[in-house]
Amino acid sequence: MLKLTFFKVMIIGLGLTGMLNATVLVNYKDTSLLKPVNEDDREKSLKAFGTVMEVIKSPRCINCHPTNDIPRQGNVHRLHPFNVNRGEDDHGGLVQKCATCHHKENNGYTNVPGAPHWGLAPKTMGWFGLTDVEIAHALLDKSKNGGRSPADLVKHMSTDSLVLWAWNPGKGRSAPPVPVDEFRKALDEWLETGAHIPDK
Amino acid sequence: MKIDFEINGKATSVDVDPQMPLLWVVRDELNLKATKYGCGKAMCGACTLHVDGDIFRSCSLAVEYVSGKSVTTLEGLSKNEGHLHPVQQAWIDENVPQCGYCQPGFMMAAAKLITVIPNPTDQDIKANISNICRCGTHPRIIKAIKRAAQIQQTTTLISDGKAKE
Repeated sequence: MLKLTFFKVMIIGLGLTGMLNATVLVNYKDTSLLKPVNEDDREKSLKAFGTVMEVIKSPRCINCHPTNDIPRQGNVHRLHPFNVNRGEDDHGGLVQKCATCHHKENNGYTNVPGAPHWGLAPKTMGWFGLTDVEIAHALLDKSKNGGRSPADLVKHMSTDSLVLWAWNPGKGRSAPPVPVDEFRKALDEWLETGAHIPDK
Repeated sequence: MKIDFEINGKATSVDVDPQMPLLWVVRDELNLKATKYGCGKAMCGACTLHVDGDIFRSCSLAVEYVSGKSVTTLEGLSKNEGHLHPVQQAWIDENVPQCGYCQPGFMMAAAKLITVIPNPTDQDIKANISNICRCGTHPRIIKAIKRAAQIQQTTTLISDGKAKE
């Protein structure tokens, strides 16, 4: 009886996983340009995804991709003090905005970090606390990634001035563990090889 | 580098390092001493002033960023002593300051607050003003901001009434 129940659970689980994958693939087709999933590329694709995740989950990136309304700071991801919050436009509240303290470049006097359009990523692009699998789906889902196709995603992540700030974070802040060129190459490769997503 | 901007309604020009914090330009080049140096890390808010109507921590704002813009310090909040800004009047009425050092920054933040939230609650004030007062005058500051909002509304009503006449 116990074995049967376990078996049933497995079948249901596999069924649900299959449905999820099917749904995701349809979404990816909608985003176009993604190459069809080729199982031969799985290992290569997952390796590239791992490199992408090293950057995305680095403090310089994920601190401003919260799933709630408060940015985080430092390598320990502490909550930003002073009641700082995303506000209605992801750039701060009615009185205190991100630009009250953060400007277009790192400040040499106060060491306050800065880059053009400093602010939080939209809430749909919140990654903090998500698993790698959840982040992967969020990256590829146009309804969550700002309507970006895979090509748009590569362009955004390799040319946007605020994204690139991560590799020029100012004194006392560590850059992501992967150089920007390697990151771009890995992101491109992950998408080119069908954007395989780890099982868990 | 020569940088032109407006300070308290008057055109001005300074010839300084463009990266010089606006705080030091205001205090040392323009001799306006209300704006204070506190933490020097854009945290405490003692150096808060307005640029084109928004609040900025001037210790962390390079002067080059205010080129062509309008800067207002506490000295420029009211036209003269006979016409105090609602925040200034409320600060006097509620006898807010203790040592007083941080108050100019609080007052500039409060002046902005009552323009965007004309009738602020305690929570509105706490959520939108993060300045620090080590004397602990925050309860009086909250009372004063509410009073300033009332003064502002009364003044607006009177102005509107006169306009209709």
